[in-house]
Amino acid sequence: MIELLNIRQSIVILAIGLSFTSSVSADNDKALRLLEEMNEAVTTQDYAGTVMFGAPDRWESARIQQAYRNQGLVQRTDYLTGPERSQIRAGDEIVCIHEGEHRSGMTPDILKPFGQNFPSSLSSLEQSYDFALADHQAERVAGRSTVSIWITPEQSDRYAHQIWLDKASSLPLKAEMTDKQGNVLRRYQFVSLETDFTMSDSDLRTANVGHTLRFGHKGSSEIAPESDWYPSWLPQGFQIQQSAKSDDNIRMTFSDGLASFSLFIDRVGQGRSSSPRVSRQWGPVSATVEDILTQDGQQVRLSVVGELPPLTLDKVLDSAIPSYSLSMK
Amino acid sequence: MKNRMRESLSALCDGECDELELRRVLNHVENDAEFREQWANFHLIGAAMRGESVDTVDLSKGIMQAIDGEPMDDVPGIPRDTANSSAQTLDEKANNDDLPVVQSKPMALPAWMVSGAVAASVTMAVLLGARVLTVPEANLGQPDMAVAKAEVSQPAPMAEASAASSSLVASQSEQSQMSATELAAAQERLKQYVLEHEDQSFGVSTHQAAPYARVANFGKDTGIRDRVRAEVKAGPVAD
Repeated sequence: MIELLNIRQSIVILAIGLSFTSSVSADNDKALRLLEEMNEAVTTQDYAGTVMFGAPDRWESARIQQAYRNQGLVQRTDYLTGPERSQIRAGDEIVCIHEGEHRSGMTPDILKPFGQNFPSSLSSLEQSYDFALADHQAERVAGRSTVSIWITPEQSDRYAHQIWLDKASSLPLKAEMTDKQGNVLRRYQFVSLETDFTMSDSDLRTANVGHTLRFGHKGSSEIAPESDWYPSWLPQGFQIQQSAKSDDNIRMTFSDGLASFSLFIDRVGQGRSSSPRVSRQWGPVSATVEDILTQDGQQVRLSVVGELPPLTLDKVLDSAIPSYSLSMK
Repeated sequence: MKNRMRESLSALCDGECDELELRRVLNHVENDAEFREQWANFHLIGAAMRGESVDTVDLSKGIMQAIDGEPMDDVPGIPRDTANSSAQTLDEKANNDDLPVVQSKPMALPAWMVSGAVAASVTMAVLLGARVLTVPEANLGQPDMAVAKAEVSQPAPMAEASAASSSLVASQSEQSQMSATELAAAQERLKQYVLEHEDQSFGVSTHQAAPYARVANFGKDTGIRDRVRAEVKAGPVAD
């Protein structure tokens, strides 16, 4: 009798387990399908909206307008806080409109990583992240009902994301990047959104004003993985996005589709001393730097910067240091 | 009072003191040489009981510089909580990398040292007033005690690396001014890198001269200021 009970219990447990796994994978499939729809929407849908973004302790705001034309997608971002500045992105070109010199990072990608740079294929993301519908109660964002998806990393070497997609248009209305303790490191949230919007030609007043930035050629790297300074360890799923090389400077940017980091290698001068490794974290962005001496007495500074936990950047930096310089310590 | 402070100190060394108690000890440590001596002794005893090798090099000079100069607007080194977890991942590190990561005995840091609740600068202040146990030579490969590592790895050339650690501290003080300005410069560049990374991850190739050349004309054409302003203002289409 007891045995029978046990068998019954096991069957029940097994059944529950089976239905749980199947519902989990159905959940996963649905989340993936929604993300594909989102990807379609961000690259084709016309919209205009006001969005708040930044680290939770400091909000910025901007107005984004996007229209699909024959020649492709045109997106205009007017930053509403900080210095007056705008950015128009069309095809392979970015036009920045502002006073004074261009400074790096002055026109950030607000919807990152769910904007136009979201990977077109999700299969590579699936290696490193799990996808799940966040909950069944709909949250309203910008007056629209949404469906929310959790994107959690398989390992804690990178951050998790939660996004809220507009049920009607599939546009990503809100997103949060969180560390493993659940602290929100960066977020954006639309305050208003219209989708029945068309951009008139006059909104592309770029003649004579502004300057262009060119896109780097994605995936075309000048630096072979065998070469010096190429990190021998990368977090799972990370690939080189772009690289540049000059006489005394190498830079490489790596991404797994959602998170990215850059490795900078600079010749600092004739070696006098190596410096301690220094790490810092500013909300979502961490950085770690170390000076090392090469065999021929050159001082070289390695800096790794990215939206990854400091520990991950540390490991990348370790793996980029040539073995001979380790022996010099 | 003295007895009470001694109890607090003992608790601190055992990692059992809370943040309030720590602050009280800190205030006391600043003004009392005898107390500082005691703190070092407690540590020596603790280390001896744990069977750790002990070395009593005075690191306070370098730490003083780190605090006075403090060129980074944060304390140099890995944050304490990170440092703690990095010890846990050492094994993993050694497995993943072919690099000769120096394997070492994980240091038994007191709880307050690894707790995120206590600011890293407070930790530094404790070290300031005390004779500190240096990390054994073999520990230098790991960032556990970033400060100690900084001290000893300053004069990096190989010839000096094997010298006695006391002479390392001496030569370190000669270099301290220079490294403070170097750290400041490194910080400036790091900020620039953070911004460049922002652009690069967006897909913009920042490593090009063209945009800067065109922007340079901005200053010469005075009329352009108004045009930019008009352009930016007119930007968002009326709803």
